[in-house]
Amino acid sequence: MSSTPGRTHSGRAASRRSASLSTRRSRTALLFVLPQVVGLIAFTGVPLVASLGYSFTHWDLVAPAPTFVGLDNWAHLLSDDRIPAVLWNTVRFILVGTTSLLVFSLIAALLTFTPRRGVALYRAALFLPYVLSQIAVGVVWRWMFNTNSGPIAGIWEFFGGDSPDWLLDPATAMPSIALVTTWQTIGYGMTLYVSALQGVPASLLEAATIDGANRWQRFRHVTVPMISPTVFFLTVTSLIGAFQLFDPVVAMTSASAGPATAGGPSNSTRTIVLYMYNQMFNYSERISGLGYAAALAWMLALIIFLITAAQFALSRRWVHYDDPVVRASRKRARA
Amino acid sequence: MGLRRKSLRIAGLLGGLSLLVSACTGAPAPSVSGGPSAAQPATVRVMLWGNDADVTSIKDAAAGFTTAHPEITIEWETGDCGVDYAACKTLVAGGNLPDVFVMGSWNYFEAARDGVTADITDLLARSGTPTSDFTSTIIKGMTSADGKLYGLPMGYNIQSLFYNKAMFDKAGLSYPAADGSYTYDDLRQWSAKLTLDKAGRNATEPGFDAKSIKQYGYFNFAAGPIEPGYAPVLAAFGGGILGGEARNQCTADASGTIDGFQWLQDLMWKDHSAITPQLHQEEPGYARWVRGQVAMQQGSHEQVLNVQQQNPTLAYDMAALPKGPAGNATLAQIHIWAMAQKSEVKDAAWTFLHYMATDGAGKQMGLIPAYKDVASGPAFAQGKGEPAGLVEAQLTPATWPLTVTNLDPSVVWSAVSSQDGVLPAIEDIVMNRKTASEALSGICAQRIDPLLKSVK
Repeated sequence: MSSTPGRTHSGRAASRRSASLSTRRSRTALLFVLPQVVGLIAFTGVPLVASLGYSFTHWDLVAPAPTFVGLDNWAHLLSDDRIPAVLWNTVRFILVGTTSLLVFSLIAALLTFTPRRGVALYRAALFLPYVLSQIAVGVVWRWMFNTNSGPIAGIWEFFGGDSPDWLLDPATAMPSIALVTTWQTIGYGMTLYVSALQGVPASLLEAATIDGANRWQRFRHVTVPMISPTVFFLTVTSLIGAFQLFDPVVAMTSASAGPATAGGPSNSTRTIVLYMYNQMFNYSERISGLGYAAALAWMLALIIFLITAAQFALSRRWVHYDDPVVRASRKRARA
Repeated sequence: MGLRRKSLRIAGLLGGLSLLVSACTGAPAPSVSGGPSAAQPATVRVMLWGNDADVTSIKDAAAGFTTAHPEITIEWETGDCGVDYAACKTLVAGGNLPDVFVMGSWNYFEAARDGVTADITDLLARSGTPTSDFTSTIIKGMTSADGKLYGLPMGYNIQSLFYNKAMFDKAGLSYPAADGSYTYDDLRQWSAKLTLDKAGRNATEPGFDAKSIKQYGYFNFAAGPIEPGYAPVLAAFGGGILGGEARNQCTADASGTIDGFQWLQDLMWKDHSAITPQLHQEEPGYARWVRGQVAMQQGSHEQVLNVQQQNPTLAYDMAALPKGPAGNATLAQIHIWAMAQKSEVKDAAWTFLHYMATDGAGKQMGLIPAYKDVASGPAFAQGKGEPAGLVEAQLTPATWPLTVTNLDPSVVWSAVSSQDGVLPAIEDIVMNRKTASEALSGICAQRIDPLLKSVK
């Protein structure tokens, strides 16, 4: 294969023009994303790097500058006997909160995804709590859970039981908080599920029906695999959110001094982030303050990272990103 | 070459990051000396907290200062620094702490220890105002072990007994003695007699139905459970969570502490005559007293303002807290004018602070003034709408030997009162999960002493 010099020259010129256009486009694109990148670096990147640096220091915020303490905070982290308890509280929250969110928002979506009269109203009603402040929701539910006059105790007693002291009993306080967060986020989960359910190809469901599948079999073998990416997304994001639980606990359990006294009764609702806040602002221990709180934050980030990585690894077994209809049409096109 | 350029870029980025980080950690402290004198024009930033009435009361009290010192401009701000020390910390870290602010007694010593508030001992001495001009218990409590002061009192709260006169009349009981010459046993009996079920039977009568109570005898903030509620009771029983001069010795399992908590638990759960945590969660006990559902409550002077605003026709009076096995005791909570160690207008800030604690004293945040005999005058004792027992219930108890403050000279209370400290045990007591003895026995060795050792 040879080419004439003229053609080579014009080819180079075209190539240069194309490269120049590409560079200009790249620059323009960069200019568009620059504000976002600068914001990301300034408000996420820098604090991230800074917090890692702070985890090797001691600083109570009021001293003129942090003092380098090497690995002291990290060593203390490993010997801090309060950490297993706060992590266990978070696990208790996840067991109730994340599970119920996944199940109830799917039920809500199944009930509301078919277009029919008034369905938008139901969806709006279910979504409404999601836009409310967590503190306001916590204050209202604090009353809802009251043993003397709260409606939940009333319903419980209507069925003949003695209502537990929902938020004042160590056994029921965390599940109660978990159910409140489920109630508040159910609309969000429902919206995602509705969108996923609407994306399930009708042809697949029809094919399954023709093949003799009943309603449950269609749901189990067609719908669930098709919406599995949404289930996965919700699982990952709600678990990350669960590990960052803070506002509802403060709103529903603090005596009077805000986060300083929250986490009760008997430490049963103190989460890792609340403990981090306490270490940062409320405690005056030799190893506390910003440095230790930063080490706790990095420990939390590591836990979240490991759990998310495990979820992604396991997701290969049950999450189906391939749309069989699209796959079949691609196959046809290739043929 | 490419690698070198990359290294330079990384170095530049790290340099930039370190500059940003160092910028975020605050500028070096300004020199203490060299600030403008009080006669020079200056602007003083003053941070207040509280409700609208509190803020207005302070601004009204400062009106005279503005006239006397036109060269000093006061820039008012509202914020939680002083009531919540976490807010002060973030302001300090951001280099934005105001010049003057109001510290609560609960974090006064923490701010002093951290160097956030200025030592005003010499300034006070130079001003010619002797410390004896201030209420002795208050100023003594505020003085550090090495004799230093880090602020001057705006005023203080005293816990007293507020009672509904109509309910006492209806039950045929005589009113509690205003000077506190009655006992906790008396109070318990009254509480039972003043607790009525829907059939009108009181808690001492046979057939009393504890599940249908329409009127309660007593409310104490221990149902919260918070310190201003239980501290006076524990002190009167000869106990307390912390003891010692520096308030750094655990006495949470002492017999006086156990007896005091048991008294509170018995009223709630044995006699069914006091507001429980569940009821307090439903509607705060003090609000129930104001609207006439509870006969007695332990509270501070702010209850007078609550009655004036919410139920002005309520027939009530107040008495000093009763005598326990150890004697009469109460709790004083102090609000303190303090100035920032790093203030660049220290002279002007001091001039303002000194005025507010002395010449401007009185009627600030509804507190009892701690300066000279201002409390005996129209600013407090002779104020309009005050109950008859005010002086004996609010002023005299400040001189009782057993009266305690919630000043925290060893800066340990935050940890001790937390979920890591005594709070779960107190929750168990007020929720009736354990007796006081079961909840508190051995708590010092197991939980509190290790915490006391771990603090700075």
